Amino acid sequence: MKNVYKIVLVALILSTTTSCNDDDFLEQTSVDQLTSASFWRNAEDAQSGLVAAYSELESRSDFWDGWQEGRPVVEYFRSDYALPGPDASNYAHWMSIFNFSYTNGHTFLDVIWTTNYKGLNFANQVITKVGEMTSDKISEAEKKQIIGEATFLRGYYHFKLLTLYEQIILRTELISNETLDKPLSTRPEAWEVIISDFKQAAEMLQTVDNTEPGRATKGAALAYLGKAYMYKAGDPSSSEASDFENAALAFKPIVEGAAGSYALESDFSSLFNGENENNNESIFELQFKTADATSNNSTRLHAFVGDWSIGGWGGIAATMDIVNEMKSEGMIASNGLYDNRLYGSLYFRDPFYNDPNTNQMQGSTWDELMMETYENTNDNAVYFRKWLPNYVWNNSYVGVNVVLMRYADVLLMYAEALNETGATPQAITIINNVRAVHGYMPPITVTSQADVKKQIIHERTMELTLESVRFFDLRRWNMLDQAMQAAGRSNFSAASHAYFPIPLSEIQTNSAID
Amino acid sequence: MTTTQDLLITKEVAPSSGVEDPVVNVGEFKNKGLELEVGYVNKNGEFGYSAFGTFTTVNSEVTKLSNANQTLYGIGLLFGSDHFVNQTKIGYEPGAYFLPVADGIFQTQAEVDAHGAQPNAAPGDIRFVDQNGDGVIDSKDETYQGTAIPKYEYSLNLSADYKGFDFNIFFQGVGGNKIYNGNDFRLLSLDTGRNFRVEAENAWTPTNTNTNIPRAALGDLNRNSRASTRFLEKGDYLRIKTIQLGYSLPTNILETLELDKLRIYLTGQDLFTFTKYSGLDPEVGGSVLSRGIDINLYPKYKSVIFGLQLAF
Repeated sequence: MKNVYKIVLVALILSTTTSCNDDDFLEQTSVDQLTSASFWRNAEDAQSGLVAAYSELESRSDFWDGWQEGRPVVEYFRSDYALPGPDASNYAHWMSIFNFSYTNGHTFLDVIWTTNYKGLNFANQVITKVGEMTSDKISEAEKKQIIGEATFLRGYYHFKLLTLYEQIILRTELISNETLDKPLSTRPEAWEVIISDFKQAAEMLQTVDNTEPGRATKGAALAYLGKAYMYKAGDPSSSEASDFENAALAFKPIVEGAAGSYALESDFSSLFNGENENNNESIFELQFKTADATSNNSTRLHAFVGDWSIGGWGGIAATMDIVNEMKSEGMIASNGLYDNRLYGSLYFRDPFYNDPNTNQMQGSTWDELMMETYENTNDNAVYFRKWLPNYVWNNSYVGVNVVLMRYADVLLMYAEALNETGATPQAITIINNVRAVHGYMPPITVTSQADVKKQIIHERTMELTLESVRFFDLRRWNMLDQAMQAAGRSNFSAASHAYFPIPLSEIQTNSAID
Repeated sequence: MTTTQDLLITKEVAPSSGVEDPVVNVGEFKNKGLELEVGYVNKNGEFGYSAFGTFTTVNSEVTKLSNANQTLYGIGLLFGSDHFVNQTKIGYEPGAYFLPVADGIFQTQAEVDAHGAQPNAAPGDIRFVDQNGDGVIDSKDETYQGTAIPKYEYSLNLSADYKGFDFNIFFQGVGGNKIYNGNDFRLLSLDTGRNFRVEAENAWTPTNTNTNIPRAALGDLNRNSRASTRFLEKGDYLRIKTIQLGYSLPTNILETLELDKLRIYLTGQDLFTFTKYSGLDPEVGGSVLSRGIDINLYPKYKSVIFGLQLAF
């Protein structure tokens, strides 16, 4: 047979079943690793757990999309006084926040949501697990301190979320299989939990004089309690007649010295340039330090804020409107200039920045720097100055702290709460104090409640520009639509953009949300 | 038929839980199909030849998930938080495509107005089909658009030898699958002032209307570059995986050289691909829940190998 001839025809139908009904083998306990059950052995474990709860503050744990870009874009770009910097147009996802054309899948919405909820998970673990520790493992005093700080943080993370998103999911317990998916709470329910946590923390915590820098204090808890009432007062879904009164009650012990020794710092610029950290005016401050052999907790926020002309990355710029607003009282400061806080907050073309005999432009002048970078004197450009160290040319990692709550903010909120509750003369005294110390400005001349409120709106711009308050202040004053229109932000409508939507990632994974 | 039960997979949990995504049992997948293999070998004097072919059909279906109405999403191409392409749900292939349908480009304002469901659109923008007719384009307009899993796969291996020469060619192909061209999404979204691919020059303008690339619009308010069938393509291909020609020296020469064997050969790998897919390489893999997405993949390279086989 010369030919070999073969045809193979195989039709295979496989039927196999793979299963692992015996789930035990998947649940081995590792004897040489700590688990959430075997941790919490002593005070040191409790402190370590607490550090984790702090680590998510201001989305710091997600350095680029959280802290470095996400937070400033979300909190600064949405101010009516902000403009995208020369670098911003490279990033569609920054511009969609600026233009209010973002969707619920936006990465910053996702990252900020996720990091704050991680913080809540850590805070809840500390509150529950340290709460279960017996006196042979940790002293009562230390236990109270740690739980107090974690309770403050739980309030802080919920507050942060509620002020950013239209609705939130309250997380006040350890996560279990049953609570993984949880429905949204109403805003009044959320405010109740936030206020209760800040109140409880204020009871448990020590004053600033007895606490390490960076840790939550009685003063911080009271300041955020008052701030929560102020925001709630301006939230139509939840406001109550007693909100301003409650806010004033929270601020009062801070102002009267019962919650620690606070005072206004005389050097306004030093509050932001890293050369006067954890000073008397600081109530809650995010701690950074340059890297050394054993640690790295640094920031480049100054590179985002700083313009190209001073060596920054040009992430953000300011409108001419804010310069005009800050100049609106004229050159009536005691040194013959405009309100001192104008110069502490902004760079713009002005004799102050064109004087070769000062070091205000880092050893140069505005005109020189602008000619060098933009080939003209950039007459209508305005840049923010806060959070820049005195050596912006170095735009790499620095250890400049970022103060999240300071005494001047408390004073102005206290004045606002007093003014809203009829104590206008008292409010005027407080406003004048802030103006004199930080602005070198004479006392105000207006006296009516309505005029004093207008003055407070002005003072908050003078004092707190680029401190993550403007958008939120406008919202609680019901001024968003008007301000955005004036700024030419035509795509904005408060009905759609006052709050962020629930992130797509949450809707996709949480079966308790439609 | 293969049933995969208790499939262990990293499940994305609600970010509001604050916990890391755990590995859990997600469900049960069924694979049904037919495998056919045909071979033929013949020798005619000094001329030998053979042919082997395979043909396989696959039908994958998700039959069980942790809860019946559950949808598991694949990766989001935009920062991981947006632009989701694949969905895994009961009754469909794992990681099937669920997308709104892109229906060409609006040429006039009248067309935009007539459509009515895209308030931010202008001439030059993509028209999306309002599947449920509710006047908005949203996730409810996502419909099943096929799968990255081929309906059938086939191969053919042909060999022949004559005297010292030998020749082999191996064809392989798939059909019935789709590929999501993520590189087009990333490099042709025309939404901001950054670098795009050269086809961006063919974007729609009032004087360049015969194109499938929408207008360049800062901010992309119409979301032309949202996940949609705009970037979905047929993934069928036939590829000549290898082609080889060899020559072995005859025994009498080998004896004088004191060698057992000396063969020289030339091999070409992945030299020819027949496909309508526009991307670099139709062989796109993926994971269970996220497959068929062509984004930032390193394409297979063509290679030509010259070889020498020596045996002592």
